[in-house]
This record gives sequence, C-alpha cells and structure tokens, in this order.
Amino acid sequence: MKFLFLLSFCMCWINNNAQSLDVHLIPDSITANAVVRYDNTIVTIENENKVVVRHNYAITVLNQKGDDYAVYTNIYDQLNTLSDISGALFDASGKRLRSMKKKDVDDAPVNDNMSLVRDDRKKSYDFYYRSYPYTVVFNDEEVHSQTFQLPNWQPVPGSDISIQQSSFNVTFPSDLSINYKVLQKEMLHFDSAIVNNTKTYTWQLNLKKSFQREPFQPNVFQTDPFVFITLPKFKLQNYTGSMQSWQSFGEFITQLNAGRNVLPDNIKQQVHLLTDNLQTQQQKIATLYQYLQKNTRYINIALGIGGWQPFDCKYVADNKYGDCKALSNFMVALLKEAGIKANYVLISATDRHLPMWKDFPCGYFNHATVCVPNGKDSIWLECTSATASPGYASHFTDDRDALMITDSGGIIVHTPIYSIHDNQQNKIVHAIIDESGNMQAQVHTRYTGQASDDIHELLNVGIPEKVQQYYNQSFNLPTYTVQHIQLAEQKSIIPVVNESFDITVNGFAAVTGKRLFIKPNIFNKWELKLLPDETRKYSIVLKENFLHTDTVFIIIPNGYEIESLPKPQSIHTIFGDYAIRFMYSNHQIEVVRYQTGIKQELPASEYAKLVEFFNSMYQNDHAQVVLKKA
Amino acid sequence: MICENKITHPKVDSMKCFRIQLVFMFTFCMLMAAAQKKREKLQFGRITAQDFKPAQYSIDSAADAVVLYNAGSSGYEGNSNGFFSVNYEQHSRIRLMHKNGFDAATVTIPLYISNDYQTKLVSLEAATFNLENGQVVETKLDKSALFTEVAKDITTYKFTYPNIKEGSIVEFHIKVILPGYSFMPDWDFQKKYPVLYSEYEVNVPYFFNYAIIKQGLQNYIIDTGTEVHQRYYIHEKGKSAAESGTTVAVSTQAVQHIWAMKDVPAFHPQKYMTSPDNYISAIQFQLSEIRMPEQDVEKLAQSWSKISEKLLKDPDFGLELNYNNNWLKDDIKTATANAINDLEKAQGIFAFVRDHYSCNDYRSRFLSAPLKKITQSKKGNVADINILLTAMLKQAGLEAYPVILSTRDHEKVLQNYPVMRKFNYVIARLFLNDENYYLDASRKNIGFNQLPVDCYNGFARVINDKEPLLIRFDADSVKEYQMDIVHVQPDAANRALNVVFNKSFGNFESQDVRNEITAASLDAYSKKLQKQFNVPVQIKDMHADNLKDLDEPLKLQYTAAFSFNPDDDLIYFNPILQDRMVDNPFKAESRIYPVEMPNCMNSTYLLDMDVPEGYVVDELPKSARVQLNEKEGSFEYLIVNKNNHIQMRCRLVLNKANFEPDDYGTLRDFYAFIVQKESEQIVLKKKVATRP
Repeated sequence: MKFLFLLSFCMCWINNNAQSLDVHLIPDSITANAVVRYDNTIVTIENENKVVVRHNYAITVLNQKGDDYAVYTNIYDQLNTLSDISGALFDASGKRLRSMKKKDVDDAPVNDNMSLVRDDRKKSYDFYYRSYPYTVVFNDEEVHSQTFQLPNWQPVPGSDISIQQSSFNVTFPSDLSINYKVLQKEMLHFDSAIVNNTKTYTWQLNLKKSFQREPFQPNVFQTDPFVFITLPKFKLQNYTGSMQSWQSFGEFITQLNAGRNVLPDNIKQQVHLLTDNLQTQQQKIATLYQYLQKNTRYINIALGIGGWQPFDCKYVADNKYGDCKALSNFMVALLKEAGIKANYVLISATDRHLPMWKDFPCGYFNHATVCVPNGKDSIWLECTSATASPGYASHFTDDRDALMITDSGGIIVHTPIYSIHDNQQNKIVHAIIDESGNMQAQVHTRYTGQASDDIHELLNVGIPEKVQQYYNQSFNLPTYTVQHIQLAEQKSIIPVVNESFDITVNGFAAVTGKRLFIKPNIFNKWELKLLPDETRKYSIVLKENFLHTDTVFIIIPNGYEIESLPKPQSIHTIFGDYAIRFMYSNHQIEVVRYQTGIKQELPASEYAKLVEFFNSMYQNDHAQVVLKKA
Repeated sequence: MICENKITHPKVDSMKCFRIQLVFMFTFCMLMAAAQKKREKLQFGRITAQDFKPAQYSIDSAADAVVLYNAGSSGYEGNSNGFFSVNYEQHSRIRLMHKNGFDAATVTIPLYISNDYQTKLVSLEAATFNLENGQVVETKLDKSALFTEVAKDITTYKFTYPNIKEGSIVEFHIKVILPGYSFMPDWDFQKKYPVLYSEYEVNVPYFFNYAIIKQGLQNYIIDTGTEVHQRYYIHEKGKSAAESGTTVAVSTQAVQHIWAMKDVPAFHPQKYMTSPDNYISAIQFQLSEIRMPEQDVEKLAQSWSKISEKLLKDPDFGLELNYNNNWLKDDIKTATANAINDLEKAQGIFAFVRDHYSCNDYRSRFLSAPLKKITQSKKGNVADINILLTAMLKQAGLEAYPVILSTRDHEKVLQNYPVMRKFNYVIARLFLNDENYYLDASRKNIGFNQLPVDCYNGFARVINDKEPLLIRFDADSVKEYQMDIVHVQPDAANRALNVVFNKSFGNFESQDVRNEITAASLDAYSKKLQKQFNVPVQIKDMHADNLKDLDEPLKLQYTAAFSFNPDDDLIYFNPILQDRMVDNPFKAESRIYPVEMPNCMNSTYLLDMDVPEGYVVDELPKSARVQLNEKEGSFEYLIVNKNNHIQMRCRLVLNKANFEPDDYGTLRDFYAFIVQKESEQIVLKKKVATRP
C-alpha cells in the first residue's frame, strides 16, 4: 500500500509540472534560443555539517542554438555527494515524451588538463532531441558535508537564454544566522519568513530577457544577478572556523596550515648555505625564489580537503612538486628560515573568477601566492611559475585585492598595479626594399612589464627549433623567412625582454608596372575593427595599461620616387592616445607611431567614440605608400 | 599580353621509403643470432654515473627530454580459465634535459576495464635517479602517489615521478595481463621526444596467427622472427569449490619476433597532414587465424567476402538489414509522401533521417542500440543513423548498402587486407537507375549524394552479400568549385564605388557556411564579412539562395559601398576585393611529410568595373598565367581595359590535393606567386582637363 501511494505521488508530481510546459505559455517578450521555464533551488542548512540542496528546473529549447542548455551536468566529490537525479523530455505542447534512464547518465572524472588527479567527477545526460521546440525537466539532490563553501545562485546561465521564473530558497534553523551577498540586487525580489524555528530567505528572478554579448563588456559579476551565502561559523571536516570577518577567515586558514611549514633539516642547511653570505634582503629573496623555481614544479593533486589544505613542506621537499598552496607554503618556510617574514596569500586569479569583496568574507579563492610585506615595496612571488621574475605579478594576479594570512588573521592587501610606462613595447625596424618588392629587415623590440608576458612564455618555453618555428609561422606577411632570433630577459620587478631578428619577405611590396605599393607600418598594426552599436547596454571595460612606440626606416630602390604618402594622424581620447607620421627623405621612408591604452571602465555612452578610435587606428595603420619609377 | 611562367622544380627520384607494409607472423626473415648481437638489454635500476654524462644527445641537441630506452614485450601464457592470456611488459627510461620536458615525467597508463574484460596492472616499479656529488641517488615512487581515475570502460593509472630536476633519469617497469587471447598491444617506436633505442618483442604460440602492419619512415635495426618451442601451462578450475582444477601442459611451436629501432627522431604533427597515426613509426597487430589442434583453422580476417558476410549477420551492424522492417513503414510513408519516382523517394527518406535524427558520435562502425531503439530516441552514432537510413531505403524497395570507411583524422585503410580497427565511420550507398549515390544523413547541412570532407580519406568498402566492393574516396578526386562575380559601379555623386557581390560556394564550403549561418544568423554572417574588409564598408541586402535547399550549392548576394574621393588625383584599387590570399599557407621552408589538402580546387573570381567619370587607367597589373608541375594546377590572372571598362578573371585550379614532400618547394613557390600577384593594384588617374 505504501508503495502504491509513493508511486501515485510521483505521477502527480510530474503531471503537476507538465501542465505548465506548453511553449505557448512563454511570454512573447522573452523569446530567445532557450527559456528557463522555472528553476528552483532549495537549500536546507540542517547544521554545520549538513546542507541539502534540491534543484528542480525546466528549460525549453526553441531552436538549435539552444541545445546546449538541455544538457544536464553536475559535479560531485567526497564532501558533496549527488543523488536522486531524474529528468524528462516534453514536446511543444507539454506532452511527456520520455524519461531519463539512470543507467545512461554519464559519470566521468573532471578533467581540467592541468591537474594530475582530482576527486571531483561530473554526471551528465543529454536527450539529444532535435524537434523544436522541446522542454527538458531535471531534478537532483546534493548533500554537502561541509559548510566552508555553501551553494551559490547564478540564475542566468548564459546570454542567449531568457528566464521566466527562477528562485533560490535558503532555509536554516533560526538559532543559526547566515550572511549573504547579492549582486545586481535591483533585478531580484527578496522575501524572508520564520516558521517553527526555521528561517527562510527567498530570492526570485522573473521575466528576464536574453541579451546580446557586447565587446569589452564587464564580466558576469557586474552584469548578472548572483546570490552568495556563508555560514558565520562553519565546519570543514575536523576544522571549524568563522567567516564573520576576513580577519577570522584568515585565522581559519592559519589553522588549516598549522604544522605544515616544518622544513626538513637538509633544506634548512641549504637555505643557510645559499643566503647566509648575502647582504641584502632582496638578494636573499631572489636567491631563494630561484631555488624554488629550479627545484620544484607545479603539479595539482586535488583530493578531498587537499583542495584547501596545502601538502606540508616535507612532502614538497621529498617529491619536488606541489600545487599553488603547497609551493607557496614551502616558499614562506624557506624565507622564514632565512629570517625573512613572508606571508601566504589567497587570491582570485584571472579576471574571469569571482572577485574578492571587502565586505563579504567567503572561501571562493582559486589560487595561492606569497607576499613579502613592505608597504608599497612589497614583493610578490608567484610560486607555480618556474620562470617568472621575483616580485612581478602578471595578468594572472595583478591589481586586485587578496587575503594575506598573518599571525593575527587575514588582512586585505592589494597586488601591484602597472602603469602605461611599466608596460611598454618599443620597436625599431630598419628595412630595405628592392625593385621586385622583396624586403629585408632587422627588427629590435624591447618589451617591459605586462607587455612582455607573451614573449616571456616564448623565451622560456621554446627550444630554439620551436622558437624558430613560431617566428616563421606567426606573421601575417607573404612568403617569408626569419633568422638570427635573439631573445634576452632581464629579470626584475618589472621584467624586460629584448628581442631581435632578421626577416626576409618575398613580395612584401606589391609591384604593378612602374609602381611599388608598400604598407610601411610593418609589424604593429591595430587589427581590431568594431561595428557601431546604437543600443550599447553595458559599460566598456579596458583591461590593460600599455604604451607602444614604433619607428620604421625603409630604404627604397633607386630610381623610385614617392607618389603618395599617407597623411599624419594624431588622436587624443579618453581611451588612450594615438599618433602616426609618415615621412620621406633621401630615399628613405620613416614611420613614427605612438599608442597608449588606459585600463579603466567607461560608460556605454562612450562606445561610439571607441568605435571611431579603433577604426581610425585600423585605417591609419594599414595606410600605404606608393612609389613610382621616375 | 600574357607572360607565361612555369613553376617546376627538377624532380629528384623520390626515395622508395615504405609507409605501410603488411606481413604475417609466421614469416621468418633473419637469423636470430645476428639480431641478438644488436639487441640492447637494460636492467631496471642499473644506472651509473656514466648515464648522466651526456650534456646533450647527438640525435637532437635541443631536445627537452630523450627516451634512452623503451622496451616492450607481449607474450602468450596459459591462464587459470582454461585458455590463454597475453602478458605485456614495458620498461621505459627517459632522461629529462630541460624543465620544458617535465611533462615526460608524468605517466598515464590507460587500461581497458569493463565488466567482461578486466585488464590488470600486475606490477609497477618506478623511480627517479639523480646524480648527487658523483653518486647515483634513487628516489622510489611511493605507492600512495599512484592514482587511478575511473571512467567508462577505461581506468587510468597516473603518477608523476618524485624529486626530478633537469638531468634526472626516470624509469618505470610495468606488467599488465590482458585477459583475452585475441588482442596484441601495438607499439609506437616514435614519440614526442627522440628515442635512442626502442624494441618490441612478441611471442605467439602456433595456435594464433597475426597480421602485422608496419608503418613509418624509420628503419628497423632488428626485424626478426624465429621459430621456438614453448611450453604453456593452462589451468582449468574445478567445477565446484571443493573440486580441484586440472593443469594441462601444452608444448608447441611458437614464434618469437623482435623489432627494434635506433635513434628515432621526435614526431611533430603538421598542418595539411591527415592523422599523425599514418606517419608515426609504429607496429600494429590483428589476429588473423586461430589454429587449434584437431580443429579446422578459423580464419578471422582474410577475405572481404567472409567479413562482409559476418558483418551482415552481426546484430551490432547489419543483421537487421536482412529483415522485413515493416515497422518503418509509417516513417517511410511520411518521408515519401510527395515522391513521384524512386529517386525522389530516396531523397525524401534521406532528408527525413537527416532532419529528424541527431548524431552524438561521429566515430563508430557499430550500432549503439537496435534500430527500433534508435527510432524511439531519435539519436545515435554515425553507424546508427546511416544503417537506419539503409534499412529505410531497403524497406522502401530500393537497393542500398552500408559502406564502411575511415575519416581523415583517423588512420588510413589498407587497400586489400581487412584491418577492421582502421574503420571508424559508416555511410550508405544507393544503387538506382545504374547509378551509385553516397549518402551521409548524420550531418545537418548536407545534401543528397554529398559527403563531408572528412570522408575523403582513401579506401572504403561496400558491405553486401556478394563480393564486397572496394571503392575510393580520394581528396585528389573531389573538386571544390567556387565562383565570385563582382560588379563595380562608381557613384561619384555619393563618393562611392557600389559593388555587387555574387558568390557561389563549393559543396564543402556550402556545408561550412550553412553551419555558420544556422548557428548564428545571416545578419551575423554579414557583419563578420563586413569586418574582413580593410577599409570601412557597409554590407547591405545580403540574400542567400539555397540556404535550405541543401542539394544545391549555397549562393550569396550582397552589396557594399566603398568610399572614394572624386577630388583625388590618383586612385589605387586592388581588384580582388574579398578573400584575397595575403599570406602563403605553406610557411615552413621545407617538409619531410607529404602535403595532404582536403580537396582539389577550381575557384574563379570575375570582376567588371566602370572607371569613374573623369579618370583614366594609368596602370593595370600585368596578366599572367602559371602552371603547377605541368597539369597539376594553374593560376591565371587576366585583366583588360576596354574603353574605360575593366574586366578581370582570376582563377586558381588545383587538380591534385596530395603532394609528395619532393613537390613541397614547387607548391610553396606556386602559392608565393599567387600571393604576390593578388596584391597588385590598379591605378586610376584624373584626366587632365582639356581647355576648350
């Protein structure tokens, strides 16, 4: 009897939802490639050791471009299990076509191409249905046995999908309290209630239209609604901690790392051998950092609590490898042995990861690094790179808040900001062109700061053969050969790379009868064109400060004269400056070019000017000189 | 005026280096004694200070890692299930030269493990060796540092060597038992890093005969097969736990093969290369015969007719094609509703399957489920979809067969000998009114009797109950016809040159562009084109013909206005307004592997243009025509000005898609000429005003 009851209950449940799945019920105002019909996430925080998340959603796919949204995926691991997955497929009228078969759910290891081993796995399922429109419904349940990272809510899964209704419902015993952070609050509706000693917070998003991605738009954390929650007193396996403040969060990290910083004796001796005779702290830091770079490598092993807790110093010393946490922890210990106070720092690396908020402590970092604190002259050490300069923070970690772990808990610090003068590319080209349009040139370039990031990779990754191969395939020039490549790096707080090479280009200049056509700005052409957009919605985010200077000398063949020389151009904008000048004297063309870019965020209303600026640079950079036989 | 050029290099007699060679296990080729002398045998862990001496290796002074020794063996042994298993061992020793080669210090061992086939890693030894103060110091791999990753049917063992630095030697030895008797592991002699010595030994009792496929450009220093006598102990379990089993000793002839190579250079995949698997020096096996005592020889893979017969009885392939599949009749009725003849019937069925089914796996030669299930779920792999198509065509009374082949990213199929693992794709062949049609309903934007470009990879087999036909889909035999017609009309009042583009795409490009347009929109495609012009241009009125009619080539029409200033004394104008070849696709100076382009080509660009009022032509590019190796290709650039009306024709023809390494220089020069010619410009000059 009980079985029968359960069965009929199940039928009811499916029917209940099916009634509302007719595609005609989608408001016309929100048609897109796909529509979230409803999406309900119910989080029940039972206690500090147990959180249950029930997720139930329906998505209607309106055309082929929306197919990806119909694929179910979810990730689980040892501390966060996944169960009760079910799903069903419905046609346009809301008629149920078939159900997900449990045995067909794909269960595969998560492969990030970076880790040696991880314990998280991914379950996924695809109906592969292709008669549009159709609707999929999925349910699942997660049980988290930790409260260090609570589930968050991202109701907008992509730009080309609309949302009819989505909700995030968090229930917890009223003697507990939770902290929350809401992004784009104005898009959401909030409610709270207390019933029988349980408190409930509900956020809702209704009728949100899909949108068009725009070039240089801010990342999703500035455009889409999100809700993040934390438990002020949380548990992670045998550890308890407090997320009341960044200071207390830091104390928790200290607790996790406790006792993991003991260096084996032979390493201690090594530290003294290397540094005791050095005079300055700077020399000592550079020497120990080099020691780390030479003697360890980055290997990620993310198993259970190892996702947050570093392997200890002995492990790194024995194996000569570790992940960002283990290597940073090891580096701090090396410095300590040499009498230098350094700190382990948690950080959100890359600009796609969620940022750190001063007012909302939470455990969403994706990277660890090291800081030797000294006010403005603090030194940053990226321990996962075998080649980076000591003190230099690349695009990966520059200009952002991070959490420094100290004896008295966590402290917010800011990583280095690089100015346009720090990030320079200065190029000088000496070229000679013959009558058939062939060119030979010597190219010298000096790259500094973040302008050297790419060439740094090439310099350190490439065996000569590969470097040669890279140069011989990377230019947008007719048939050519590059020779005599020289690359030299000066490692310092602002790294400098000097590059020089010789290049021979066949048919560089076009020859038609008595004329030669030359595009004299050979190597630094602005290639990005933008189309005007009267309905620009988002602000404009420019991510980099930089300064480029170019000087090109081209000797032209005897007997030719200039017929046409492009006009000079000089543009001063809020985005940056640009100037180019073409000159001719004594059988020599000279081009002088100057360009800056300024890292900033600007309102959408400036977009038309940005389009004009970029398109103007594009055109002037591709301008041609015409020579004519006298 | 036409200048005739010929680009031909003197032909070097191409080296007769074999690429793929087929032999059988029981052929003996060389005396063992001689081979044994050349053989290198190293012991695990026997590493001396001498081994660390070389600062670089002559084979490749810049290598980031060097494989010092890689030796494997596979041999049959009696098992406890009353038959044979294969015992595989591998011993690998690598010197890490530079940090960039540290990826060679991470080892993954993927093993096939499913419910009914349990490969077993029996033992693993691994250690790092460093030279410290003149002493060799060994760091063993800790058992806890061996990880496993379980995926469907594949379990991967993974580890990374501890304590490595530049100069370290890392070494592993593994032993694996393969439970079946019918699979012999392959061996790659060539790797991502150079290999100083690589050897593979194989021992097979007389009961089994294998076909051996050798491929690659490298030479063997040992290549021998010797007859030996071997004793195998086969244990049969008792029928119950109480009953003890029996062990039988079988004494028989066996063959011992040894292959070895020395100083094998690193292999790097290149552009215009089909699968690297076709070029890596390697050896592969396929069981061809089982010859049990007192039983008939069981020939597994010798004649195509046998294979075909078997495939047509295989429930995972063609079994259902023999049945009366009456349950398909409703779908056939829907699909052929408007058909007035057999060809239209076939076209209707093809379009029905293509438009109602989605393909979730483009690499399969077997059904993933019975056809009925496929029709229920409306999804399947490429075999599911095209065998279903075949079944529907047959059910409709037409003559159709499945065809198996290998795609371009997969290995090449041998002409005669059936090596089934080399096939990974199924299409359908329809025979109607004395004509053959080849159909692939697994792709969305493909027409009737068209194949995707990946199918043009050489030999294929039609699976029928008579003699299975050998057919060929060669890149050399398929030509992509493209035509651009461009009309330029000056409009001085609006300071513009109005240009009308009429583009007609080849079959493959039609598929690609349709995919792009269906994934985005015609408008998005138009914006993308607009960005490709290097002057400001607005594309308007884009119109597509045959966007939905997939059997016909796609055509696009659109207009664009280029600005010009009627006050300028001179106007410079490149007549090739779109898709100009700006750089040479063959950038590398030389090449040791053949160039394999996806298809032959015939692309034509036609332009006619009125010179703007008040201007005359000051200079036109010269007309030119070049041939590539006599008849293999040609490029012509013809341009004339008649009464201020410019007409040009630019045509690139390639009659071949595959070129030998010897032809590389010629091909590169040919393209260099095209790039150069297409960069030329027309110069228009303002008429000097004649005073009255």
